[in-house]
Amino acid sequence: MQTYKELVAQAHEYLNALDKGKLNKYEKLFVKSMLEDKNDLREYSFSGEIISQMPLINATALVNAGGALPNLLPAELSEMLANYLQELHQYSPTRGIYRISLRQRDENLKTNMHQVKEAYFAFFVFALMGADIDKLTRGQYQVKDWDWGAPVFSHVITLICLPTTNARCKLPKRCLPAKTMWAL
Amino acid sequence: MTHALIRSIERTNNEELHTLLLQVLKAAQLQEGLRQSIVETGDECNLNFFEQLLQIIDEQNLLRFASVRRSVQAWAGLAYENIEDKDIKTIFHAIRTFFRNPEMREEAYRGDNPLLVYVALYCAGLDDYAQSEQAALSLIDSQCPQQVRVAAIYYLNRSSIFEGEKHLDVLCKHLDDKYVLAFTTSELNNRDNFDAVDSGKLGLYKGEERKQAELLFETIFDWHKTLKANESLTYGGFEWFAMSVSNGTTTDVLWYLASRLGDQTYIDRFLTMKQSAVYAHFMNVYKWRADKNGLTPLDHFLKDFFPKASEESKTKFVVSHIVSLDPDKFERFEKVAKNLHYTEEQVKTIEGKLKSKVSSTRQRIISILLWLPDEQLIECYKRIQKLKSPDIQGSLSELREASPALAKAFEAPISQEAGQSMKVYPGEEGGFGLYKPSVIEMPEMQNPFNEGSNNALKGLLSKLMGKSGAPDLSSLFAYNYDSLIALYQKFEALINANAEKQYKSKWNDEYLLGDAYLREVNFDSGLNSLPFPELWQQFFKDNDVKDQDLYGLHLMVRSVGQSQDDWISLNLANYPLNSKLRQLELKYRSHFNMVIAARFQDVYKEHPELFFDASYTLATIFFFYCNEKKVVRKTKYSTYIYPIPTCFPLQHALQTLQWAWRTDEEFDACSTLLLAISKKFYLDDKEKSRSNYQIPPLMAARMNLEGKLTDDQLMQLLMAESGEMLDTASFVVFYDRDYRRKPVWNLQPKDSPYSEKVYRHLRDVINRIANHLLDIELTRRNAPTTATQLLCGRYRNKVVLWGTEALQKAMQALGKEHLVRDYYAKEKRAVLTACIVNCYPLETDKPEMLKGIEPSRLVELAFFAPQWMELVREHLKWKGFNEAYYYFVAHTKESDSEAKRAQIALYTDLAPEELADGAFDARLFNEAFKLVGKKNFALFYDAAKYMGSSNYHSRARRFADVTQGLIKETELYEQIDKTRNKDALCALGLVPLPKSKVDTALLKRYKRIQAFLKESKQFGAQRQTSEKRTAEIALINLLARLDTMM
Repeated sequence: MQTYKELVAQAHEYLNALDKGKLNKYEKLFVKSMLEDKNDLREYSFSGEIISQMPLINATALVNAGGALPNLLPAELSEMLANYLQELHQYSPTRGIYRISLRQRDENLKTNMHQVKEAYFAFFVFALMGADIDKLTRGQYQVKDWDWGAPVFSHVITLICLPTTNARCKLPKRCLPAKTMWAL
Repeated sequence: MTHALIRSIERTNNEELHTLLLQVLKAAQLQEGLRQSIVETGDECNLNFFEQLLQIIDEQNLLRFASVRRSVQAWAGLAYENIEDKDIKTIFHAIRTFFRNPEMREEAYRGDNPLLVYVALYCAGLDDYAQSEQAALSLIDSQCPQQVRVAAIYYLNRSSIFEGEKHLDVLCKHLDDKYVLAFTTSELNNRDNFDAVDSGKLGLYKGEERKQAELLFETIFDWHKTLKANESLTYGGFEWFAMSVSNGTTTDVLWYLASRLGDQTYIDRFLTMKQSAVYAHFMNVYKWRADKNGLTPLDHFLKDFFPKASEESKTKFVVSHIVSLDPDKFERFEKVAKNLHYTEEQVKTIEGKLKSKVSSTRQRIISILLWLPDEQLIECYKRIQKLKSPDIQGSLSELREASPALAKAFEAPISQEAGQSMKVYPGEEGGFGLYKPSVIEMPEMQNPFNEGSNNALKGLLSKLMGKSGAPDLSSLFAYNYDSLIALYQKFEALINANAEKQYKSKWNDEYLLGDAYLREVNFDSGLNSLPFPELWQQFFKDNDVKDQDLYGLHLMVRSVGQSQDDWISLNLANYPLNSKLRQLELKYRSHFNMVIAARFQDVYKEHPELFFDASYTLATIFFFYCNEKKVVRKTKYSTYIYPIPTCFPLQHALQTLQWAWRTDEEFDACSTLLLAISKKFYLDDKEKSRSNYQIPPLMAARMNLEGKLTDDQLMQLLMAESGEMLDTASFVVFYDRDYRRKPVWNLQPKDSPYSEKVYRHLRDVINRIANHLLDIELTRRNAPTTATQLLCGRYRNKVVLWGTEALQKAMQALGKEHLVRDYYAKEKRAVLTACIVNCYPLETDKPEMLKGIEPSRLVELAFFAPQWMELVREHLKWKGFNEAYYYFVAHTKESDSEAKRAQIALYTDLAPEELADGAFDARLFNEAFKLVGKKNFALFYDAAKYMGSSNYHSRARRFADVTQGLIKETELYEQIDKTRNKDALCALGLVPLPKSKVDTALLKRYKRIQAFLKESKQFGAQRQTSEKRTAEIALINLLARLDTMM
């Protein structure tokens, strides 16, 4: 099992090896923020302040402006992220019972900024870990000593559950308990 | 099946996966957790899925499960305390109805049922939030019944999307409705907006917005005047509605509005209103709230807000709030406030606060008064000279010494209190006036790894040398990586063979030996504290693990899988405590580590000398081969710096070594090495996260006796680093438990390698230091002295004082003030109280030596520092002193030591458990009251609060009051009815009986006790048991009352 420190070291190695000249302006800021602390890898590196500067009018505008992190993520994952961002405005997750979040019909991603942030971090860590969707859905991507702030991988898994990506649908289906399959 | 997967499936439009997930829900008959994971997030993302989920819940009657009922409330954002199942059913069916039939929502809005209105709005929000927000705002703006408006407010309040400030046009029309006003205030109380005002991102209000803001300011300003510190708004017809508003919230909002209105009028009104400014947003100085330029909200307040106010408002604000500010806030305010002009009235208000009993307040007042221009200060000084207050002469001295104009205009105060001609002691830089500071030289250390070395250590250290000149560590580490793994494999086989063996931990939980972690079974140490010790003993025997090899083995096993930061490595051949070992993963690491550590503890306890060579070798290697001075760990917000000797494994070696030496030669080598290590790795950096390593105080004391350290050097070591070593020395020399400190030579551990002479010498030195520190503190006026930090109260005091002479000095300095219960502070009275509480009588002290101290103060002392109780009793010679004293001690809730229980048993027949639960000994009370007399009993009554830091004394007081008829029976009934007060129930039996109709009175009390017992059935099992016991005790007390009549 990979330790948190090893993952952080791996992230820094990966980020340092990137061709900084090719990164878009948002990616540059994210990379700079992540490289600031060599002992840490946290979601807040994908700062809300940077994301708020991105065109969040709708997913297409965001992706066109480089919001799918094309140079930070491997090409295939960036494409997946772009697809996911297209879906994101439909989701309106409840955050605890103190204040309820409700559905907003417009395509503006401003109200989903926190989710964009979570998705960026989840896709980035997923890429670092090897991007094996099978392992991810089975909960096999565990990191030792990661005390808090682990990525919300449901952003990645959601994508492969979409009917549009039906080819990959088999994977989560296999993860459902055998008892259910029997019940069917 | 992970939570992430469930959420992902629910989110998508994948019908196939939805069906599968709902089948899982149906099949999860006995899996409450899985059911909760599926249902609770069901409403989050996909309405198709949610609709199917609602249908399944209805069809399968899943509402019978607690997890589903809880989820229904969580969806709608309704709190789930004190809610009845029928309400949950109503909510669930309303959700189903409104979800499928949008047209019925309108019907609900037109009705008068707030719960249905709320659920209809929620369902509209699930569909499209904008639509629901519009509907809620329309309801607020309409003439609908109040409960409907409240439901609409509550809906918007629960929604995280609603931005109140964008809808002020609607809200401002209804500010006469207190619910709308509270909601609007709560919406404006937005930290993000506050930060935006600080950073200038949110500018001034204009146009229509400004008019609304002005109206809001006026309304909230008026409301603020009537608001309590914390107020909760509820609504009877819609129980879910709950909104808390405090005057702190209104202060923040008024600041926000005044900032954005920008006019001096509003700023002045804000600054001059009554407010709890200390806790307001603009007073915040936390670094994490600072902006990019490092400016905190208070910096912005002082830069942008405060200067816009009139001089009068500014000074009024300063006078009202600055005295109670924290030092860092005060320093920031001082820069702008010192240049203002204060009126005579304002100066009088400030100087009047010099009457405060709190020295730190007086110190703050003096700092403020020194801002005044000379003429105003001189007038002020004249008035203060006439002020009647304790320590006023000290305050005058402080003022005069700090102001050349005052020094020129006035003679020095003449009384002793003025502190005139008191000696001024230097701080650590001047040796506190006790010793002459000097540089302690690094002792000469020969590197045993150099071939040319030829000194006394060479023989001892020659074993460190390998043939190649590289250190030979075989005497320290008998095992290497491979042999350790081989040993572990045998250990793992042993665990596997016994994996099913069961045992109970020391907390009485059951475990199997094959579990991931091994638990201790009792509070012993060594192998006997572990389960199945015979198993481990056999393991050591079978594998021929030698005692002398345990040290290295223990260090190696402790390093396995370690991820701590304060761990240092050495780049040496044959040194096994490296990263390879740290990264090793062993299935039963916990077991292996605990067993080896326990065996090491056992041997170290019996034969510490066995580990002298090994620990000495390890410490020597670090001394010569470790060239770093610190370990630095950086996190996003902090940097931690640890001095090398406090890191593993050197810290372990130093700890082992200090008790492992036995011969003079070993002491010589060991003390020289430890002193050298403390010198080599010393960090000047005051920001370091741990103190530097200091040699053990007993070792330093023996070195002093042998002439290796001078007297001054010993004291310097003890006082360095804010007295860290003095703290250890006091702990080593004085036994500290049960309020009794005894010189340790009576209790000296049998295996201590130090002689009584060393203990006695160290005691004499620290006693001398303690008395000197007290002398320094006695020169204190208001500001702390150089000794304050060392004397102030803490869990384990650095300083212990002895004898009535020290007690008398501290009592005299306290003057007419009482002892302070909460003495963990640097305030003058608190420090003197700490000195008194940590002062112990000498065997030579006589009762008459307490002469001059007020009897009331002595009674306080007897409760607060029971070590003085005997002397106080003998000095006061009051009949019934013991009875009165132990009446209060016995009738507290506090659990006591065996010795104290035995003492209490001399005065009462009641069992300690009965007393602790509320039983009352009428005989003891009557005897005490009669013997000691009403006047003196009152002194015990007042002083009883010093028994503990909480209100444990209140029961004894209440019983005394009830018995004397000071608390009436009706008051007790009221307390029992309102709060089910247990002490009140127990006290029922104590109320004096009427002269006539005794039976009726007794029957009434008996019935109330029985009723209390019956009422307890509504509560949980634990509370029922507790209340049953209270009823039992209450009956015992009632019976005791009958006994006294017979």
